Amino acid sequence: MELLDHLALGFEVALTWQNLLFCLVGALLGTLVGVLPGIGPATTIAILLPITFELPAVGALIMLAGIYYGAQYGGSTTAILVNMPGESSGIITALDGHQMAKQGRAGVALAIAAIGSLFAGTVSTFFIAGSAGTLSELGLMFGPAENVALMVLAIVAVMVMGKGSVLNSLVMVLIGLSLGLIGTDVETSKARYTFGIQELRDGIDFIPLAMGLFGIAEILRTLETPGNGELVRARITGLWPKGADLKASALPILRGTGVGTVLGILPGSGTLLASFSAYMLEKRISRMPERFGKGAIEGLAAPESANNAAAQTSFVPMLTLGMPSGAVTALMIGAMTIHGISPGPQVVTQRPDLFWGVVC
Amino acid sequence: MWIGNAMLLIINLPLIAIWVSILRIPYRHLVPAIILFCCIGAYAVNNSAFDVVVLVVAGLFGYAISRLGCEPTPLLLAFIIGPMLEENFRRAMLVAHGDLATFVHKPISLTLLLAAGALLLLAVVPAVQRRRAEVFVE
Amino acid sequence: MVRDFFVAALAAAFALILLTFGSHLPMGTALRMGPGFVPRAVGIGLLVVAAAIALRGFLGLRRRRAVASGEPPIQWRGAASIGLGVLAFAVLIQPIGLIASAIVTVFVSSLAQDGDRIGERALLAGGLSAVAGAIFSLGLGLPLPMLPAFL
Repeated sequence: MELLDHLALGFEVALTWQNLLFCLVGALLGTLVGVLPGIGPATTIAILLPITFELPAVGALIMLAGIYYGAQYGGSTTAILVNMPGESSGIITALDGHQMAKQGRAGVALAIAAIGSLFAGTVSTFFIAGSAGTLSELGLMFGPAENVALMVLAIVAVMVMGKGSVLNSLVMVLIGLSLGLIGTDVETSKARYTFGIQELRDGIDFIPLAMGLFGIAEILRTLETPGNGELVRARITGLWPKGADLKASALPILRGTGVGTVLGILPGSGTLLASFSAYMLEKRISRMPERFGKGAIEGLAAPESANNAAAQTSFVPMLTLGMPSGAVTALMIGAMTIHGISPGPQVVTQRPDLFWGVVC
Repeated sequence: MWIGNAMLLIINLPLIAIWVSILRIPYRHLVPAIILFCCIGAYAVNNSAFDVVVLVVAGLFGYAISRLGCEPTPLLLAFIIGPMLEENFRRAMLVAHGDLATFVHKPISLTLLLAAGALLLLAVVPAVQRRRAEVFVE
Repeated sequence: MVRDFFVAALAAAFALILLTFGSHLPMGTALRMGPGFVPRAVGIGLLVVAAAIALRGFLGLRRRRAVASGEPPIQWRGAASIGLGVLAFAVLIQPIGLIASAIVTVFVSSLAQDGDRIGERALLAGGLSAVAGAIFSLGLGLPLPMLPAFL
């Protein structure tokens, strides 16, 4: 069983005490920053990127992945308790989650969110492990022309799936390309757009750019609405869900995981599409759809599971083809290049420790 | 990934009280702390004050574009992909002797480009646009 | 919409910078592309999109003249104080070190919001600066200049 060998290798890498520590620190820091109102996973990763800089590549990516789950989890916590989601998919979580919190069931809501996420995470990990081999084999057939086509697809997908007008996103893409031009041209070593500034010779550094675009800009947006992030009214009682709660959310978690796993692979879709679809699905098949938006536990369990499943499977195109599918995976790609790993299908075969270590 | 998820469940359920107390810290004290953290982080990567200038310019630029209804994600993605795209494009041209048609002659590349085209078309179709608007309103 | 004109202007500005300052870069041939090929392509692309967005702006203006925007007012104060705070860090970190520049940055960026008296802001600045010094230099051992260079 090749798959089992791979998973064994992955756990061997991931279970070394350094990597466990990196993962733990990442998850804690991710939750810590992600829990801050108005700060989503992409922003959290951007803010915390410098910490991983000094680590070895495997540890850095494991820590970044930890930061990502932590941020996701922290974001759900804020969405449920304060009704202030840090990212778009948290809006769905807040719909029923915050209502539950208002009814004094915040503890149950948080626990269900966590249990759903863990289940979704388990399923999608196996999914990634199973699909990685095939995809990276396909990726190895890629020449420069196929790579170009794949990159074009990734950019188009992000443009189309994001919110706002496609033309505006096109402007953003072109500006991003322009900023990427700054520095020394690899082939001819001619300086481009450095305007004689010494520091620009190596190009704009990706970390401060991401931190500014996501971190600082997001903080300024949050400041626009005074009083933001300062209301915690929900009281937490009874953390453990009752048997009835678990029973009611079991099937929604299952369905949400399925929806999220599939939708997460699509480039550019991110987690919003997944949690939204899962929510709508539950609402449609529910016998009492009017309960949704008023604290229905299915309306929390399904999108939270979908969200987490999609968050994990969105790593598939990144790890197997080297293709980022959104802000988070773009940040991870940036981190990989900083550590001297050129992302692409060869990562699976050349650095199996890295690939499987991150997956486990 | 799996270990991280399991860890989260184990450590975070008992820690919820701590996260809640963080939410009680007034935002006006958190903002300067985050800003300081960003400054130190940006500086420490290369020990370069110039990177901190990049940070502030990017931050104000990011705020401006978000006020103009643009999102930073495509920009960052293009910034990261850009150099790879250029390199691969140059190489593809070299292999194909400067013939642009190479992108449509190769089956995988053609499929990917067709998918990209279809996505673009979808986004421009009015019905989908309305649906998108609805999704984001909710 | 007026916003469209700003986006169009932004795109056009980037296009002009690309085209003017890239005019000396050789184009190369299709077979061997020079360093000037992609900049020109991106620049021309930006011009085209700028025109399209400006057109959309005109159409939008004619359709409904006054659109009450639900947007909150622009955070000039936040942008100014956070911008200045970060800029101060960039200028000060090398000459006067982490501790002192952290105090300045925290104090200036805390001016973004109401609610604290000057003394409280100063206290926050001192406290955060001490914490940052402890975490980053003592804890993580980053080679940051802690104290002013002249000490």
